[in-house]
Amino acid sequence: MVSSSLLAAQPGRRKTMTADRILPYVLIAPAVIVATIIAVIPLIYDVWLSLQDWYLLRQPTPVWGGLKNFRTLIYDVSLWSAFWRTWVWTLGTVAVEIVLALPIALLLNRDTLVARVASALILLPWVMPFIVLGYGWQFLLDSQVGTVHFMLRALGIAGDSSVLNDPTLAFTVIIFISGWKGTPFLVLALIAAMKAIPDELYEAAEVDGASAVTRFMHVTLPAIQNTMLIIALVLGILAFYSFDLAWIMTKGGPQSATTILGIKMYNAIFNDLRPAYAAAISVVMLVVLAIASALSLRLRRAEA
Amino acid sequence: MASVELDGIGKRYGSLSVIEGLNLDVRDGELLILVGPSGCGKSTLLRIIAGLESISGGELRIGGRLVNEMAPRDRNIAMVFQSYALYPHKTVAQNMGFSLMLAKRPKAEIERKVKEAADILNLGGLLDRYPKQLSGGQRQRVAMGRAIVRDPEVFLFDEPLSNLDAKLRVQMRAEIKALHERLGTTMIYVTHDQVEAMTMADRIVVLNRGHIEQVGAPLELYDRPANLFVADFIGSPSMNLMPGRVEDDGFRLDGGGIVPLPSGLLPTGRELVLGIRPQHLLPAADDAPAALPVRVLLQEPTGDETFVEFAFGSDHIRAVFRERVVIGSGESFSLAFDPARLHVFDKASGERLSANN
Repeated sequence: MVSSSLLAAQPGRRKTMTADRILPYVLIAPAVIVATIIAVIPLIYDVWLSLQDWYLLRQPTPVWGGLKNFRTLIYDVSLWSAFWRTWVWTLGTVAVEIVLALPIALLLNRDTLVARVASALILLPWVMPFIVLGYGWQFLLDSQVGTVHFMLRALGIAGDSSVLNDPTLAFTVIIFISGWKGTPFLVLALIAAMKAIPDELYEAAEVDGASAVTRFMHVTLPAIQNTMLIIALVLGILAFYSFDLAWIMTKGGPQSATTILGIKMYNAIFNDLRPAYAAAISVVMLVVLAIASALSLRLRRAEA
Repeated sequence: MASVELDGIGKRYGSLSVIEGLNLDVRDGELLILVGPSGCGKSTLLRIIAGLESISGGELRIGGRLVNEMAPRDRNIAMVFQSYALYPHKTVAQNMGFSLMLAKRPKAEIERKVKEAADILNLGGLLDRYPKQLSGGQRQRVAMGRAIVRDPEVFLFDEPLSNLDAKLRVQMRAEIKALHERLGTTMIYVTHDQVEAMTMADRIVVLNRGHIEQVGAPLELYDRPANLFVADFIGSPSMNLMPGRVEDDGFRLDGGGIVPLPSGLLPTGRELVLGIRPQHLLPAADDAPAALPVRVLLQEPTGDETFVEFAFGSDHIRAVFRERVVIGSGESFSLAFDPARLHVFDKASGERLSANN
């Protein structure tokens, strides 16, 4: 009885099985198509472009150049200084983010109305576009009308002209602003991680004789360090390929003090008219980021 | 080792008073259990003793020292939490030695004390594990180990067994009791489980809405509950409590039934509550004079006992029989009892009347 009904069901079953097999592909198709269009195709094009020889002033279409761009890149001294500058920029941005976010998160990690309102307000820099923030800060740092400029001058940091005119100070200030913008994101992530720590752990530590600092070091920090690392990695990647803030505020100057790789790439296309060379730079950045991410994630896993 | 004295302790949250004027002496070396329904203030009281909650009024002394304003770490107490509160990123050994490490004791001493505690608790092979690699019972033991290592004057337990399964709970109950006998340290233990309280305690404190209903040895509470609350709270299933008054023919229940009583046993006319434990009701022999005519409502055989619910007038009476009885629902039945096992309470005040027993 059972077997005969099974046999009878065969044709129908085959049809359902085919449908069952196709359905998953249908369901993931939209995501795959979108990802292909916005990520995979541009990536392939980028790698292909980096292997072309294309100087727009000389020829309107790219010709095969092999590793020519990469050879040029190795001997490009200004590119290398931009490369190291970008590392300073990236690590500096993340450092500012951690230094600002940790105390803010600790302050806001309580269930009061003020803390809730403040946690929402603190998001403002994060949701505002760089173009707005960039011009806003430029205004604040302006030597004629900028409030922050006057404060910096009172502190003896800035002279009569804006800090944005001094190579070192400009770079420092823009790193700070870059970190300041990323801070809210880290704050929210840290608050979420801190909320997950049970109160009893703090009480147990208190009974065990831990001071506030010891409780932070032995209870809070270990519980949030994973979140901190992952978010810092994301923010670091964002900083590594950023372009807009430095471009808006100083156009990579004064001299080339704020020329990070993003700006270098922009210049390669729009000033030097060498899109293939810019593509080669972006391929190198991609490889560097991939290695850095893989290393830090592996480090984390080895520790855990 | 130390005694703990609570003298007029009060606790307010804003205008809400949860504990008021509470007096309690915990004797040196005793295992005292605070028990009561949820929200009765037992955990708050324990946390006050630990120093995790501030005191709104009264004085708290540990070993004769006034500790009202003292930080938890200076009170020389150790606490075992309901969730165990083990540090997840520290090994068992680091968890247990944390307090000594903070006290900057020499490494050799920490190692020795951790090892001693681990031996007591059978944790020897687990010292390098992390809490997440342990079972519930092992975590619970690590939490106790962390307390033992500190060599405190007072141990505080906050419902330490409620996250364990029933079998493990029975085992850990015995282990904690054995630990108390071995260390001889004062222990204050909070639970909502009266079986834990009855089996482990030297003395039990029954708390209700922030005040003490009764303090006494477990059997004292069972045999002579001081009031209706304790009578109802201690014992499982809980005591049958039936309001009524004494009349010429016996005790007339508000529910309509009449309980035959020897005359002169209780004052006539007064509003009383009669209590009898389900275990003290027996099937009556046919000719027994002092029997309750009841009707069977529900039977629950558990194998070694039979729970039966009876209707008596409009009252419900529960009985637990050791023997297996075969009776059908709705059938008439006759219950006998020993008048000496009766508990009598004043209805208005809820206090026990000590006249007869």
